[in-house]
Amino acid sequence: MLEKALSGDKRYWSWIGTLLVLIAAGAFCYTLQLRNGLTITGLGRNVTWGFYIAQFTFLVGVAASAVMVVLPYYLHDFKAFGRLTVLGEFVAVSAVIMCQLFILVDLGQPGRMMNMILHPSPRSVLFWDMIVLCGYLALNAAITRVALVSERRGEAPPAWIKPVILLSIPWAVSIHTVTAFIYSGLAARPFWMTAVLAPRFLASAFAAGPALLILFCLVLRRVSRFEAGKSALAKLVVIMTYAMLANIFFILMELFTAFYSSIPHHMEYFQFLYLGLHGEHGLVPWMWCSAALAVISVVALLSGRWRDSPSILVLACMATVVSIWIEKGLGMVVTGQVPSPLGHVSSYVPTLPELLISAGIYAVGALLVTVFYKVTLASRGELQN
Amino acid sequence: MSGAHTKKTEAKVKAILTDATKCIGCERCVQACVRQNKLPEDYPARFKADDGLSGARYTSIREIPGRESGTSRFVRRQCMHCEDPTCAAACLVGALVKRPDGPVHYDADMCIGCRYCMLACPFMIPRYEYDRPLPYVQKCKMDETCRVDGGAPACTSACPTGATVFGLREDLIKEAKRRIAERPDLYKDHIWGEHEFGGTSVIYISDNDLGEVLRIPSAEEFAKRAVPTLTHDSVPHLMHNWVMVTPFQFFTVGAGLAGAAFLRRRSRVMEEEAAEKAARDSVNKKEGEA
Repeated sequence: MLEKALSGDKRYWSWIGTLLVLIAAGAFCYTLQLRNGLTITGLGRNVTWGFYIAQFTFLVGVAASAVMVVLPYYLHDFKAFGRLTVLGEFVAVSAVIMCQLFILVDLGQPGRMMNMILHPSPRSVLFWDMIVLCGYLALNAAITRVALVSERRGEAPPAWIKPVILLSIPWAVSIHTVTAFIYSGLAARPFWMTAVLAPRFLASAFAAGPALLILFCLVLRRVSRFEAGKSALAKLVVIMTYAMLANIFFILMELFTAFYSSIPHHMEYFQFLYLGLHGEHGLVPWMWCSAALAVISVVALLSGRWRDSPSILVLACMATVVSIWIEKGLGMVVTGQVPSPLGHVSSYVPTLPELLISAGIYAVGALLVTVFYKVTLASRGELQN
Repeated sequence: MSGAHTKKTEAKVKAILTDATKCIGCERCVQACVRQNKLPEDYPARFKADDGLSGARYTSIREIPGRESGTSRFVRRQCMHCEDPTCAAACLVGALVKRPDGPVHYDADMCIGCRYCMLACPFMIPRYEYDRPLPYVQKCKMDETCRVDGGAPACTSACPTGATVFGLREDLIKEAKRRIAERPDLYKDHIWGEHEFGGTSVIYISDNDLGEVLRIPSAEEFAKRAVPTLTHDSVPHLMHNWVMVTPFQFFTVGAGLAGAAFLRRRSRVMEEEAAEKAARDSVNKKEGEA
């Protein structure tokens, strides 16, 4: 099946080439990290989890968001998603693999990873996160493989896969919930210790994931004969819009709880994010940018006239993805640690090698998505060449 | 794992009592620790935060303002060796374990280096060797490896004023109470570590508040920050019960879904039957009319 990914036009190969260059750069920086330790990153005593784990958190959301095409199709018979479910599940597979790579680079020495399997401790929330992530990967790998094989043969998928797909729906919710529990279970970290963290994670995931999928569909429309269909895209836009509104609503709830009751220990994190605290305001422009993009995308998507224009739809999807990426991939993880439990504020800026390693991992994910999509479209006979 | 969180302090628990009124800040305990553990040169400031501990310093002396203005108090920082440690509950692989005789033991071979313990520790004690290709978490050991003659750790043995002493936890608590009762004018009537976060095996007495330097917020601090009063319950105790019901949630959710699927199928079958019946009736009716 994979041989279908080995033929393509010049445009295809230059895209693959770009990704391979990024992967090589990331791999080179990773060898530096293996030789010198995590000192090549910006991590330190106060910020022990930085850019890597933040990307992990963002990507768990992207993985979970596959449920937003699977659920309407299988539980509500929304037929227009029939051609999209496999594409969504492939994004999930790639995102979970990226998550695992981010964990891998965050550990000091990858050889020790085996201890996670050999000596697991069920008392730890991390244990349950490992279980749900690996389980989700296995479920989606099985589902996509069965779907591809039956599509190539032109048969209906076997009946036994349906319960597996149904199981993947609550499982998708669980991966992001347990990932939120890693943070919100820490009593000493008030910024994360909030009941709305898991709902917030899910809402932002269900906005960013469909937005990415719309963008992928629009790219596929340009490079192949694939057509997602008007009603499928419209439905994705609806899902994404209301998930984004829920996400904004949850953030406002957080602000209300902190500022209306004036609890210093809750306020100072938001002060750090949006105003700067004790002379540290590295994140302030990013966070305002994220807020502005969130508002712009929601306004654009709620207006019928604007969202029907393809170019505005593209911009609104990009605004959604970038806004949520800033919120989770930059703000969330670092801020929980920066005003430390007794108010000490330290600075954390990811270093160039850290960013290149991360870019390399994203390139691996993009490569996987490209190859998966290519194989899928080829077996459906929807490729142009 | 049962009972780990409600565990009463056992009789044989070893502990360290530090009396801040006796500490002169000479740092001999720090030097003894460095020698005994053959610790390398210290890390740059980025890895040390503000309390002096790092991947290469397991104990440090912090200077805080004394009761009278212009004076200083010195307070020794080290792993608190909690009776029910949060780090051990957070650890994915069981690399951190509370030993029945007191120390919170770290197994370097088991550790995967995820640093979740560093986020979980309410005292912010564990440090990481960021500059090593094979980095470990480091903290005070308080076990055989650092004990010198007589079985006491190198740090307490090196103390010239007896400000930090090693012994059985229950004896040291009695001793602390005795000192407080003897000089109520001098000491604050509080033993830091007796109950905080489920109790610790490193305890302190002092003539001024140690809450901030030890990262144990006082009752007023708790009230001010509106953090629920956790001090007398260990954090793992509070979360353990919830974590352990996780497997049952899988079954509950599974059973719920199966039930929903069953109901849905049954209602569909009933609808189909009703439709069939209606169709039959209309055919019969037509035939009757004909």
